[in-house]
Amino acid sequence: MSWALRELGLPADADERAIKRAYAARLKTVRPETDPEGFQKLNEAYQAALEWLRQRPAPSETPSESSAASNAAPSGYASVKLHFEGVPISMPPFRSARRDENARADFDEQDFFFTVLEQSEQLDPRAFKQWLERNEALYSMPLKAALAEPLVWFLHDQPPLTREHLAITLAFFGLDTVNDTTMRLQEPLHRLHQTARRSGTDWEEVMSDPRRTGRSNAHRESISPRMALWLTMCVMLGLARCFGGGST
Amino acid sequence: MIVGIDLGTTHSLIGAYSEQGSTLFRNALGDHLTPSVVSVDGDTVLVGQAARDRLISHPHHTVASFKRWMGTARETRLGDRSFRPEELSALVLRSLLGDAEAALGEKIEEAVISVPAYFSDAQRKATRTAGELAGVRVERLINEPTAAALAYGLQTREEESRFVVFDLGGGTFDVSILECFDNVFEVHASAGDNFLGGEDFLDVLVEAFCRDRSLRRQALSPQEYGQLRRRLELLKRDIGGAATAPMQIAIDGREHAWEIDEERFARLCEPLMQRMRSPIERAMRDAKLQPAQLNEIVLVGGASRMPLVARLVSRMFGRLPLRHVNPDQAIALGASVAAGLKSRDAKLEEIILTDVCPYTLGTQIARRDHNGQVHTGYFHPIILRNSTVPVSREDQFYPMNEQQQKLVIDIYQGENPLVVNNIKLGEISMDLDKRRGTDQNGVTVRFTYDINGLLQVEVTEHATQRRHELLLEQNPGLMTPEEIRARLAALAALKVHPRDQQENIAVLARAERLYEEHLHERERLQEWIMQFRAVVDTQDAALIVRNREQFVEALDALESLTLNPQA
Repeated sequence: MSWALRELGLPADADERAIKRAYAARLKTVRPETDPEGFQKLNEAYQAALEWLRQRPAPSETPSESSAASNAAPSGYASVKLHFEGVPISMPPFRSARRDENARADFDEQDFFFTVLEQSEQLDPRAFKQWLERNEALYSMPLKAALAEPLVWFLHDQPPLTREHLAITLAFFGLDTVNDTTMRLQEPLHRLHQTARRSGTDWEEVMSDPRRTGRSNAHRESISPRMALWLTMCVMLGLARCFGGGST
Repeated sequence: MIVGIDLGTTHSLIGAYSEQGSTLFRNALGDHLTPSVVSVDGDTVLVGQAARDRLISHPHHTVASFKRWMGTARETRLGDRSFRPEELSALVLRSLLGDAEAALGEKIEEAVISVPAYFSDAQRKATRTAGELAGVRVERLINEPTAAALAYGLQTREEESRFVVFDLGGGTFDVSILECFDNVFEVHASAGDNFLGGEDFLDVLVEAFCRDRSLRRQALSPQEYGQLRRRLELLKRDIGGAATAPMQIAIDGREHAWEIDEERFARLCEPLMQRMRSPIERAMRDAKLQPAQLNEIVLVGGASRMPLVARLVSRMFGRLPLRHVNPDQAIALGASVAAGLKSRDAKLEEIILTDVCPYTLGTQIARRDHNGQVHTGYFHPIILRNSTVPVSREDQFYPMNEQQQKLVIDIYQGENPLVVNNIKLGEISMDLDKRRGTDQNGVTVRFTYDINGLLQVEVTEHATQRRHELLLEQNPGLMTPEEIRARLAALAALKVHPRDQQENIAVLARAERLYEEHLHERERLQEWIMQFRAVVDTQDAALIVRNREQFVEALDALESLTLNPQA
């Protein structure tokens, strides 16, 4: 049983309503303006109780294969679920995965990621930003939130973006601020920043140069071999981390 | 008596809580909304509608939108004196307090003032100083969306509900996610943009007009520029639906007709609309909520009336926002409730409000990567944004290497993972005893953020248990107590028109604005102005009232003719 429930004087099967009622009742005597320390303790118990409720699996649910993987993963490392030719490949999961599944169901994530890459090569930063902003599907907040983390891992294994394009992409997906997602993704984000190409490209030239456009179109045709390669690398990296993490 | 005040970028309101609930007070002209505009006429100060008219007739002596400069040391020259943003705000507050005192018949000692949720520490302190300069105690500031939610929540009093409040005012944009249950008002998250509001949408129109009519904005005289903004502000309210909104204005002796439809306006405003997306997304992410878990979407702030805003909301949330809240009054009504809470009004005794800290607060750290290379400049959060306040958190830090002679704890506020992109609030440094080695040279850093948004930092050395308290740097945007005293004396020397003369002043100011705006009516207007001045000088109250009514009628007729030339 959670310490938080004990703190609120609640039984282990307390539901959200009960947690809120207990919190509200205790607030009458522990007010934020008169008892800051007591209030902080009470509020922390309240938040922890709600979080505990969120994490508690619903009675009917069986533990998924992904939660088994999470035991093996070193803490602090993030995770993606990748779909490759219809076969789901499990990487260490991220907490919100189950909730986000619906939002992502009708959206071709891989196609979108490759298009991002393609557009980042073809468009100057301003036009690229507008292109992202005008994507109607991404007005959906759950979808956009669900894409942020997989996108980082995707970009991580692709040829580097320019600094401007990277900054625009990260800002658009809310990855330019400190939060639990970016704290978890510190390592890949750090590498993305380090490998980002220097700016100063002449965009007119890029857009009119047939070789450049040709090359970026080629991305689409070569999806499978490329993906196979980076997937292998991901898995190897993941393994290396597990063993590396275990030995130190 | 404690009052609640909405000190807005374009308008301000004042109210109080009584047994009947929140009541707003009317100004001398009978309006709830007092324009946040200040004008100086010799050694006399005008505030409100009369001052707003003088933006056009006396642009060098008049100023508006100064809330945007709160927290900076910017001085505005009006006539032969200059004012800090705190002083200009104090003049508005003084005028509001006068209205409330006239209505209540008693002296007001204390006020709760609403501020944008995303206001920084410096901006909050400046708002308090403004209160002090206006002669009231301001112990409590309330976040604007929280105030609006308080007014809205009390109005509906549902068992349990979660809602999002969008506040798009004249100069600031805020979004807050709240929940109320069992008389608890809990703010889950707030985010915003301190430089995004109705004024920016107006700027877009000004720019488009000038481009279309091949005018250079800088080449317009202050009078013409003031007129143009006023006309376009009126036009802005007409934009919507299928029809195009027309307007007409005389600039430099030439008539300019112009029109704009909603589609074009939406296209021009797209960059502004895009800026609203990330605060909304951030607040929702921090609140750990999905759009489907919200019961209501409430829009407040005058600029939220633009159809564009409702459209953005429905695109992002998949449904339409609620409409039955008065967007101009919600914040002031809520601030009045907060005033009632502060005075522990018996009816409100059981309500408890909890709010959050809108920014992340933390320190700078260096990191060693897997190659052993040290990277500096990383932001390490200690109090995460949207933590419920009051809150106190600590963390431990150690020197990077044995040779280090000093340990510096920098205090930053911001959201970026790199400190260069955040705001530095101060630093504390201490000498290290090299004999001890890195493990023993650690420190515990504690950040305490109180209910009024004050941050206290305390560093404890592990080895000696010696404590260091952080003295935040004197912010260049803030006034010292001596300065406040000096400015208070200077403000006291300024004269204000007595309340019973406000209506006369306002009608004269309006006539002077119309004089500027109407080249062909100048002779007539000048004559009316002279006549009415003479009537005012007789001090015959009945005569003045009669004449003023006629004067207003004549001005109304003249103005309606020019606003709708076809009619």
